[in-house]
Amino acid sequence: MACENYQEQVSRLIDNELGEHESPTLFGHLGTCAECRRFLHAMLKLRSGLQGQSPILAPADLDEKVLGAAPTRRRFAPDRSAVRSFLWKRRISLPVPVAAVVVVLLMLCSILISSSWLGGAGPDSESQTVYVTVLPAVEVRGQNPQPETTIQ
Amino acid sequence: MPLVIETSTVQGLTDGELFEQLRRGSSGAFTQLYHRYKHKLYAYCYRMVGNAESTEDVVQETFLKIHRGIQSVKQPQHFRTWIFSVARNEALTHLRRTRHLEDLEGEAETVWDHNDPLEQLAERETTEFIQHYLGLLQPYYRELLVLREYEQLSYAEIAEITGITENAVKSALFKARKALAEKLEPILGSRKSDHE
Repeated sequence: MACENYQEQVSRLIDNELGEHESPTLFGHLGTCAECRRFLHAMLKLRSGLQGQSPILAPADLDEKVLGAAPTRRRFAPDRSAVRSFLWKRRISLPVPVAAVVVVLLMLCSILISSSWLGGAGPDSESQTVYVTVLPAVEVRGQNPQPETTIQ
Repeated sequence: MPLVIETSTVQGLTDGELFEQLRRGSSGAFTQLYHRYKHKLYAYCYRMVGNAESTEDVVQETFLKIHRGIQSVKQPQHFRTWIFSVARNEALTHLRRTRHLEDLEGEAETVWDHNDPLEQLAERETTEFIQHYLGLLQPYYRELLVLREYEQLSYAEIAEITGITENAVKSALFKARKALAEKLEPILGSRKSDHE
Protein backbone atom coordinates (compact mmCIF):
# COMPACT_ATOMS: atom_id res chain seq x y z
CA MET A 1 0.00 0.00 0.00
CA ALA A 2 1.29 3.47 -0.87
CA CYS A 3 2.07 6.16 1.71
CA GLU A 4 -0.87 8.17 0.38
CA ASN A 5 -3.22 5.42 1.60
CA TYR A 6 -1.56 5.25 5.01
CA GLN A 7 -1.80 9.03 5.35
CA GLU A 8 -5.50 8.83 4.58
CA GLN A 9 -5.70 6.31 7.42
CA VAL A 10 -3.82 8.75 9.66
CA SER A 11 -6.49 11.31 8.93
CA ARG A 12 -9.15 8.82 10.05
CA LEU A 13 -7.03 7.75 13.02
CA ILE A 14 -7.06 11.24 14.54
CA ASP A 15 -10.82 11.35 13.97
CA ASN A 16 -11.33 8.01 15.75
CA GLU A 17 -12.83 6.68 12.55
CA LEU A 18 -10.20 4.09 11.77
CA GLY A 19 -11.40 0.47 11.78
CA GLU A 20 -9.86 -1.84 14.37
CA HIS A 21 -8.59 -4.19 11.68
CA GLU A 22 -6.72 -1.30 10.00
CA SER A 23 -4.83 -0.10 13.07
CA PRO A 24 -2.12 -2.82 13.26
CA THR A 25 -1.13 -2.35 9.62
CA LEU A 26 -1.01 1.42 10.01
CA PHE A 27 1.07 1.36 13.19
CA GLY A 28 3.35 -1.20 11.59
CA HIS A 29 3.91 1.15 8.68
CA LEU A 30 4.39 4.20 10.93
CA GLY A 31 7.17 2.31 12.67
CA THR A 32 9.12 2.10 9.46
CA CYS A 33 8.12 5.20 7.44
CA ALA A 34 9.48 8.59 8.51
CA GLU A 35 7.40 10.40 5.89
CA CYS A 36 4.12 9.10 7.34
CA ARG A 37 5.31 9.79 10.88
CA ARG A 38 5.93 13.38 9.85
CA PHE A 39 2.46 13.47 8.39
CA LEU A 40 0.95 12.18 11.65
CA HIS A 41 2.91 14.79 13.60
CA ALA A 42 1.73 17.55 11.24
CA MET A 43 -1.90 16.38 11.58
CA LEU A 44 -1.69 16.50 15.37
CA LYS A 45 -0.18 19.98 15.30
CA LEU A 46 -2.79 21.11 12.84
CA ARG A 47 -5.51 19.84 15.13
CA SER A 48 -4.09 21.54 18.19
CA GLY A 49 -3.73 24.71 16.15
CA LEU A 50 -7.34 24.54 14.98
CA GLN A 51 -8.74 23.70 18.38
CA GLY A 52 -6.42 26.00 20.28
CA GLN A 53 -8.11 29.09 18.97
CA SER A 54 -10.13 31.25 21.27
CA PRO A 55 -13.80 30.36 20.87
CA ILE A 56 -15.98 32.41 18.59
CA LEU A 57 -18.98 33.62 20.58
CA ALA A 58 -22.23 35.04 19.36
CA PRO A 59 -22.51 38.78 20.10
CA ALA A 60 -24.87 39.84 22.87
CA ASP A 61 -27.13 41.78 20.55
CA LEU A 62 -28.00 38.61 18.65
CA ASP A 63 -30.34 37.63 21.52
CA GLU A 64 -32.31 40.79 20.98
CA LYS A 65 -32.37 40.31 17.22
CA VAL A 66 -33.56 36.73 17.39
CA LEU A 67 -35.73 36.68 20.49
CA GLY A 68 -36.45 40.21 21.56
CA ALA A 69 -36.91 42.57 18.63
CA ALA A 70 -40.52 43.52 18.00
CA PRO A 71 -40.85 42.11 14.50
CA THR A 72 -38.89 39.06 15.51
CA ARG A 73 -40.98 38.48 18.60
CA ARG A 74 -43.98 38.28 16.38
CA ARG A 75 -42.18 35.75 14.26
CA PHE A 76 -40.88 33.68 17.12
CA ALA A 77 -43.90 33.63 19.40
CA PRO A 78 -46.54 32.17 17.19
CA ASP A 79 -47.34 29.27 19.47
CA ARG A 80 -50.79 30.47 20.42
CA SER A 81 -51.54 32.45 17.29
CA ALA A 82 -50.47 29.49 15.19
CA VAL A 83 -52.91 27.31 17.08
CA ARG A 84 -55.63 29.94 16.68
CA SER A 85 -55.13 30.29 12.95
CA PHE A 86 -54.95 26.55 12.69
CA LEU A 87 -58.35 26.23 14.37
CA TRP A 88 -59.92 28.90 12.20
CA LYS A 89 -58.68 27.21 9.08
CA ARG A 90 -59.79 23.82 10.25
CA ARG A 91 -62.67 22.17 8.40
CA ILE A 92 -65.51 21.15 10.70
CA SER A 93 -67.47 18.20 9.45
CA LEU A 94 -70.85 17.39 10.98
CA PRO A 95 -73.60 14.97 10.01
CA VAL A 96 -76.37 16.64 7.98
CA PRO A 97 -79.05 16.36 10.73
CA VAL A 98 -76.77 17.91 13.31
CA ALA A 99 -75.79 20.68 10.94
CA ALA A 100 -79.46 21.40 10.20
CA VAL A 101 -80.27 21.62 13.90
CA VAL A 102 -77.33 23.96 14.47
CA VAL A 103 -78.46 26.23 11.63
CA VAL A 104 -82.05 26.33 12.88
CA LEU A 105 -80.96 27.03 16.44
CA LEU A 106 -78.70 29.82 15.28
CA MET A 107 -81.54 31.37 13.28
CA LEU A 108 -83.92 31.17 16.22
CA CYS A 109 -81.35 32.59 18.59
CA SER A 110 -80.80 35.53 16.27
CA ILE A 111 -84.57 36.13 16.11
CA LEU A 112 -84.79 35.94 19.89
CA ILE A 113 -81.93 38.37 20.38
CA SER A 114 -83.13 40.84 17.75
CA SER A 115 -86.72 40.82 19.03
CA SER A 116 -85.68 41.36 22.64
CA TRP A 117 -83.35 44.14 21.49
CA LEU A 118 -86.11 45.79 19.45
CA GLY A 119 -88.55 45.35 22.33
CA GLY A 120 -86.29 47.22 24.73
CA ALA A 121 -85.33 49.94 22.26
CA GLY A 122 -88.74 51.44 21.40
CA PRO A 123 -90.49 54.20 23.28
CA ASP A 124 -93.36 51.89 24.44
CA SER A 125 -91.23 48.88 25.02
CA GLU A 126 -93.16 47.62 28.03
CA SER A 127 -96.25 46.79 25.99
CA GLN A 128 -94.24 45.14 23.19
CA THR A 129 -92.08 42.74 25.16
CA VAL A 130 -92.07 39.42 23.37
CA TYR A 131 -90.99 36.16 24.97
CA VAL A 132 -90.09 33.37 22.65
CA THR A 133 -89.67 29.84 23.79
CA VAL A 134 -87.94 27.47 21.46
CA LEU A 135 -88.34 23.79 21.99
CA PRO A 136 -85.81 21.53 20.25
CA ALA A 137 -88.50 19.57 18.46
CA VAL A 138 -86.55 19.42 15.25
CA GLU A 139 -86.60 16.37 13.05
CA VAL A 140 -84.45 16.52 9.96
CA ARG A 141 -84.66 12.98 8.77
CA GLY A 142 -87.00 13.37 5.82
CA GLN A 143 -89.18 15.94 7.56
CA ASN A 144 -89.14 19.66 7.68
CA PRO A 145 -87.95 21.18 10.92
CA GLN A 146 -90.94 22.40 12.93
CA PRO A 147 -89.78 24.44 15.86
CA GLU A 148 -92.59 25.03 18.28
CA THR A 149 -92.86 28.70 18.98
CA THR A 150 -95.09 30.18 21.61
CA ILE A 151 -95.68 33.86 21.93
CA GLN A 152 -96.78 35.00 25.34
CA MET B 1 -53.85 17.44 25.65
CA PRO B 2 -50.07 17.51 25.17
CA LEU B 3 -47.96 18.80 28.02
CA VAL B 4 -46.15 22.01 27.11
CA ILE B 5 -43.31 22.96 29.42
CA GLU B 6 -42.26 26.59 29.65
CA THR B 7 -38.83 28.23 29.91
CA SER B 8 -38.00 27.66 33.55
CA THR B 9 -38.43 23.90 33.28
CA VAL B 10 -36.84 23.17 29.92
CA GLN B 11 -33.24 23.94 30.88
CA GLY B 12 -32.33 20.42 31.91
CA LEU B 13 -33.89 18.70 28.94
CA THR B 14 -31.93 16.61 26.47
CA ASP B 15 -31.98 17.60 22.82
CA GLY B 16 -34.56 14.90 22.16
CA GLU B 17 -36.86 16.15 24.93
CA LEU B 18 -36.37 19.73 23.81
CA PHE B 19 -37.28 18.64 20.30
CA GLU B 20 -40.54 17.12 21.56
CA GLN B 21 -41.40 20.32 23.43
CA LEU B 22 -40.67 22.40 20.33
CA ARG B 23 -42.96 20.23 18.25
CA ARG B 24 -45.70 20.83 20.81
CA GLY B 25 -45.28 24.57 20.39
CA SER B 26 -43.46 25.56 23.58
CA SER B 27 -41.97 29.03 23.18
CA GLY B 28 -39.83 28.34 26.26
CA ALA B 29 -38.31 25.39 24.47
CA PHE B 30 -37.41 27.58 21.50
CA THR B 31 -35.70 30.10 23.78
CA GLN B 32 -33.79 27.26 25.39
CA LEU B 33 -32.81 25.85 22.00
CA TYR B 34 -31.58 29.28 20.97
CA HIS B 35 -29.37 29.65 24.05
CA ARG B 36 -28.09 26.10 23.70
CA TYR B 37 -27.05 26.47 20.06
CA LYS B 38 -26.42 30.17 19.48
CA HIS B 39 -22.65 30.07 20.03
CA LYS B 40 -22.21 26.82 18.11
CA LEU B 41 -24.22 28.02 15.13
CA TYR B 42 -22.67 31.46 15.22
CA ALA B 43 -19.12 30.01 15.25
CA TYR B 44 -19.96 27.56 12.49
CA CYS B 45 -21.57 30.23 10.31
CA TYR B 46 -18.77 32.70 11.04
CA ARG B 47 -16.18 30.21 9.87
CA MET B 48 -18.21 29.61 6.74
CA VAL B 49 -19.18 33.19 5.95
CA GLY B 50 -16.15 35.06 7.27
CA ASN B 51 -17.59 38.31 8.63
CA ALA B 52 -19.60 39.20 11.70
CA GLU B 53 -22.35 41.24 10.11
CA SER B 54 -23.32 38.62 7.55
CA THR B 55 -23.00 35.88 10.15
CA GLU B 56 -25.61 37.57 12.34
CA ASP B 57 -28.03 37.67 9.41
CA VAL B 58 -27.35 34.06 8.57
CA VAL B 59 -27.81 32.92 12.17
CA GLN B 60 -30.99 34.94 12.53
CA GLU B 61 -32.40 33.37 9.39
CA THR B 62 -31.27 29.96 10.57
CA PHE B 63 -33.26 30.21 13.80
CA LEU B 64 -36.27 31.46 11.89
CA LYS B 65 -36.09 28.45 9.57
CA ILE B 66 -35.63 26.13 12.54
CA HIS B 67 -38.74 27.54 14.15
CA ARG B 68 -40.78 27.25 10.99
CA GLY B 69 -39.51 23.86 9.96
CA ILE B 70 -39.45 21.94 13.22
CA GLN B 71 -42.51 19.92 12.25
CA SER B 72 -40.66 18.54 9.23
CA VAL B 73 -38.19 16.66 11.46
CA LYS B 74 -39.64 13.24 12.09
CA GLN B 75 -37.01 11.65 14.31
CA PRO B 76 -35.42 13.29 17.36
CA GLN B 77 -32.08 11.59 16.72
CA HIS B 78 -31.72 13.67 13.55
CA PHE B 79 -32.52 16.94 15.34
CA ARG B 80 -28.92 18.08 15.89
CA THR B 81 -27.75 17.30 12.38
CA TRP B 82 -30.89 18.94 11.00
CA ILE B 83 -30.07 22.17 12.88
CA PHE B 84 -26.62 22.22 11.31
CA SER B 85 -28.12 21.43 7.89
CA VAL B 86 -30.34 24.47 8.19
CA ALA B 87 -27.37 26.65 9.17
CA ARG B 88 -25.30 25.19 6.35
CA ASN B 89 -27.98 25.91 3.78
CA GLU B 90 -28.29 29.48 5.00
CA ALA B 91 -24.52 29.99 4.92
CA LEU B 92 -24.24 28.54 1.42
CA THR B 93 -27.16 30.64 0.22
CA HIS B 94 -25.38 33.70 1.56
CA LEU B 95 -22.11 32.71 -0.10
CA ARG B 96 -23.87 32.05 -3.38
CA ARG B 97 -25.53 35.44 -3.24
CA THR B 98 -22.42 37.36 -2.34
CA ARG B 99 -19.65 35.48 -4.07
CA HIS B 100 -21.39 33.79 -6.97
CA LEU B 101 -19.69 30.52 -6.24
CA GLU B 102 -20.71 27.78 -8.60
CA ASP B 103 -19.07 24.82 -6.98
CA LEU B 104 -20.22 25.09 -3.39
CA GLU B 105 -21.95 21.75 -3.41
CA GLY B 106 -19.28 19.71 -5.11
CA GLU B 107 -15.68 18.81 -4.78
CA ALA B 108 -13.66 21.56 -6.43
CA GLU B 109 -10.72 21.01 -8.76
CA THR B 110 -8.48 23.06 -6.50
CA VAL B 111 -8.52 22.99 -2.73
CA TRP B 112 -7.61 26.65 -2.35
CA ASP B 113 -10.05 29.48 -2.74
CA HIS B 114 -7.42 32.25 -2.69
CA ASN B 115 -3.72 32.62 -3.23
CA ASP B 116 -1.92 34.21 -0.39
CA PRO B 117 1.78 33.53 0.22
CA LEU B 118 2.72 32.31 3.65
CA GLU B 119 5.50 34.88 3.77
CA GLN B 120 2.98 37.71 4.03
CA LEU B 121 1.78 36.29 7.32
CA ALA B 122 5.13 35.51 8.86
CA GLU B 123 4.53 37.65 11.94
CA ARG B 124 1.28 36.02 12.95
CA GLU B 125 0.81 33.34 15.55
CA THR B 126 0.41 29.68 14.56
CA THR B 127 -3.30 29.61 15.28
CA GLU B 128 -3.83 32.74 13.25
CA PHE B 129 -1.94 31.16 10.37
CA ILE B 130 -4.10 28.09 10.58
CA GLN B 131 -7.29 30.11 10.85
CA HIS B 132 -6.21 32.23 7.94
CA TYR B 133 -5.58 29.26 5.69
CA LEU B 134 -8.73 27.54 6.86
CA GLY B 135 -10.55 30.60 5.58
CA LEU B 136 -8.83 30.27 2.22
CA LEU B 137 -10.07 26.74 1.62
CA GLN B 138 -12.93 26.18 -0.75
CA PRO B 139 -16.20 26.17 1.23
CA TYR B 140 -16.67 22.47 0.43
CA TYR B 141 -13.49 21.55 2.30
CA ARG B 142 -13.75 24.27 4.92
CA GLU B 143 -17.17 23.23 6.13
CA LEU B 144 -16.12 19.60 6.52
CA LEU B 145 -13.10 20.59 8.59
CA VAL B 146 -15.19 22.98 10.70
CA LEU B 147 -17.85 20.34 11.37
CA ARG B 148 -15.20 17.79 12.29
CA GLU B 149 -12.66 19.90 14.19
CA TYR B 150 -14.91 22.37 15.98
CA GLU B 151 -18.22 20.57 16.26
CA GLN B 152 -16.58 17.15 16.59
CA LEU B 153 -19.27 15.50 14.54
CA SER B 154 -18.79 11.96 13.28
CA TYR B 155 -18.33 11.19 9.60
CA ALA B 156 -21.89 9.82 9.54
CA GLU B 157 -23.30 13.05 11.01
CA ILE B 158 -21.27 15.20 8.61
CA ALA B 159 -22.50 13.08 5.71
CA GLU B 160 -26.07 13.57 6.88
CA ILE B 161 -25.66 17.34 7.15
CA THR B 162 -23.85 17.84 3.87
CA GLY B 163 -25.68 15.24 1.83
CA ILE B 164 -22.53 13.47 0.66
CA THR B 165 -21.35 9.95 1.41
CA GLU B 166 -19.18 9.02 4.38
CA ASN B 167 -16.47 7.98 1.95
CA ALA B 168 -16.59 11.43 0.35
CA VAL B 169 -16.31 13.02 3.83
CA LYS B 170 -13.32 10.84 4.65
CA SER B 171 -11.62 11.59 1.37
CA ALA B 172 -12.28 15.36 1.45
CA LEU B 173 -11.10 15.69 5.06
CA PHE B 174 -7.86 13.99 4.17
CA LYS B 175 -7.41 16.17 1.10
CA ALA B 176 -8.10 19.37 3.05
CA ARG B 177 -5.78 18.41 5.90
CA LYS B 178 -3.02 17.41 3.54
CA ALA B 179 -3.33 20.71 1.68
CA LEU B 180 -3.23 22.65 4.95
CA ALA B 181 -0.27 20.62 6.19
CA GLU B 182 1.67 21.33 3.00
CA LYS B 183 0.87 25.03 3.10
CA LEU B 184 1.70 25.29 6.79
CA GLU B 185 4.71 23.00 6.71
CA PRO B 186 7.14 25.59 8.15
CA ILE B 187 5.04 26.24 11.22
CA LEU B 188 3.71 22.70 11.71
CA GLY B 189 7.28 21.49 12.03
CA SER B 190 6.86 18.65 9.57
CA ARG B 191 10.17 19.19 7.85
CA LYS B 192 12.30 16.13 7.30
CA SER B 193 15.03 17.24 9.67
CA ASP B 194 12.57 17.42 12.58
CA HIS B 195 11.73 13.76 12.73
CA GLU B 196 14.34 11.78 10.98
